[in-house]
Amino acid sequence: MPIPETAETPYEVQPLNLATVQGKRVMQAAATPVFHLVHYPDNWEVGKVRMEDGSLVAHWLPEMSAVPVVPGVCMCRTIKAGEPPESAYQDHLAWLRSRGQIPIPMDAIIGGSSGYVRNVTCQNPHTKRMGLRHFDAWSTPKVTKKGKTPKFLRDEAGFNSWRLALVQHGWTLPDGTSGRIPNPDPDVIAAALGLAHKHLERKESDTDLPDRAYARELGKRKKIVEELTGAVVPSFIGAPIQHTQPDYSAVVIKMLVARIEAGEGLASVLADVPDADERIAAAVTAAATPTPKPKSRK
Amino acid sequence: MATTVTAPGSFAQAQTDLGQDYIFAVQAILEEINERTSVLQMMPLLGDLVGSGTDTVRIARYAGVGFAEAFTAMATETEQIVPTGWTTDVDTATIARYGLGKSETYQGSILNRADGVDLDLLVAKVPESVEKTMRDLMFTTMATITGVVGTASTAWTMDDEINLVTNFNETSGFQGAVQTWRHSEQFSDLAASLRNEPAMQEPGVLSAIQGLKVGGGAFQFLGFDNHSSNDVTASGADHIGAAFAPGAIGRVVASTMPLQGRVRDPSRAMLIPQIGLVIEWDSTSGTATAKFDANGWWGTALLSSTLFPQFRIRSIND
Repeated sequence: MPIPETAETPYEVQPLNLATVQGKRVMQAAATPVFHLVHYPDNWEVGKVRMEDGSLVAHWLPEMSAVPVVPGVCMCRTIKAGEPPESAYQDHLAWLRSRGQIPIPMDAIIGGSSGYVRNVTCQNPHTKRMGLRHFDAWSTPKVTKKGKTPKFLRDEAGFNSWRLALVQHGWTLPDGTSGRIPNPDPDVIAAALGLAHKHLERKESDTDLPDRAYARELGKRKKIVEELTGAVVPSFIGAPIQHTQPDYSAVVIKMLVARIEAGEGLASVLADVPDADERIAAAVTAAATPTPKPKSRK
Repeated sequence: MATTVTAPGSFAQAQTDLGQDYIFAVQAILEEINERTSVLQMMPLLGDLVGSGTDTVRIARYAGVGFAEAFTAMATETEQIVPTGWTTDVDTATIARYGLGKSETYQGSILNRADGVDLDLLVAKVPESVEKTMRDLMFTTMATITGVVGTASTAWTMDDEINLVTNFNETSGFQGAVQTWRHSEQFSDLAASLRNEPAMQEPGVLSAIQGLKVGGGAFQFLGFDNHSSNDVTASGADHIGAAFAPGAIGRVVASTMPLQGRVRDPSRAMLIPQIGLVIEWDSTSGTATAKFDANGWWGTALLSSTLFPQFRIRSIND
């Protein structure tokens, strides 16, 4: 027998919503630290981007690693009294940049929105301690069983569109500076294609497999090769706001100045700045170039 | 209220006044399962900052000489040799402060059973928490590795495994030793992929990989020591494991030895300077509460891939 509908009554009757009685579920998982998404220019992968007409088109996209911010790890440190919280990771970001990595600032404005880190209240199943579990904006937490690693629903197409925008338009920061991910190196794309072909050739020689398995495995790799070959290689189109400092935030510059003011030698500070000589030369040239006067309205 | 026991006298009638609801099993209190993977010995100590005047250690390296540089063939008997240079660089590590404490009321201490869970038992667990912290820090450090094999949105496959091995083997100067750390799901994905690999259709291989347990030691495969831990980080939809030559991730500490004369009660404080740890006892009579605080000063660093080859192992978390 089906459960009956509620009979006619002057009162508004609704189905029971357990969330309103019991409160929202708390994710049974350990807390995780906040993180930066970081790209290394050699790492590109193919993903499908949803176009304006709703179709999905494969593009080469910058691979992103979520690098957690934890004091004591890779130059993150315990802040001194009076320092702003973000001071904990400024040396860490400088360290990442010195290795050629490109951290995407957490407050980067891309396509009119910012804040790619999200969190959910969680409870460590072992310690019962409450905390925050951080994840990116394109992940939606699924119900997690006790003792299991939390799982997420993923808006891959949305994440891919965002990654594409990092290359095509870059980002701006609240302080007016901007940055972008450089276009992919053609050699990197060629190497990835070569690797996919190698995998295909290796599988073609696996003739010991049963016919159906052979066809399936071969088909998978052929599809990958086709997808990689046909993927669009993105390039910089133009940022919404043009700036001359591509990837160096004002916060980091302030931090460097603070180190000099604290008595650290200029050479020592500049040693942590990638391409310091070129940057100084560019700044001097820009300063020496007279700014054209605005035309009179007469 | 008196209980009238009617014949025949039964347990049901006697329990309320003469029996008890339950007793505890005559054995130690059992601790719930936890991953017990220890990585402390897998991260070499890079330095001790005690008395150094800084919270930062620099680890210097040089290159471009010796095995890296061959002689130049001279064009003539008298051609002048042009001296060549060399390169130097540094890796950097910093420490941070970590803390853990427990407290218990005096009443709790008084009424605890002899074999109960009390501060004495809990303080003995602090070294295990140090191990857990080090494990988390090592896995966090792995996420900063630049080189990557695999993609976030797909399961790890034998193709990826071959790429990983190839990347190491084709690194000039690679000596051969590699340890990998992956989430258990990443090994499950590899095991699934191996079912379609005729060359790997050996019961020994499949049994070994399926038998790999979190914290259960290394599984040897294609020349690598593979370890499993469910604490390997995930950014959401992907697991971020890593493979690296031993030594790629190191640790620094600040010895707590100078605190010997500074702690509140030196006779009860525990100093473990080798790992930068101090545990102190304290109590507040006004609130009838006792507690211990453990402070630690340590950090981890990723050393250059030109010293220790290293790659992230990336695959879907689904």
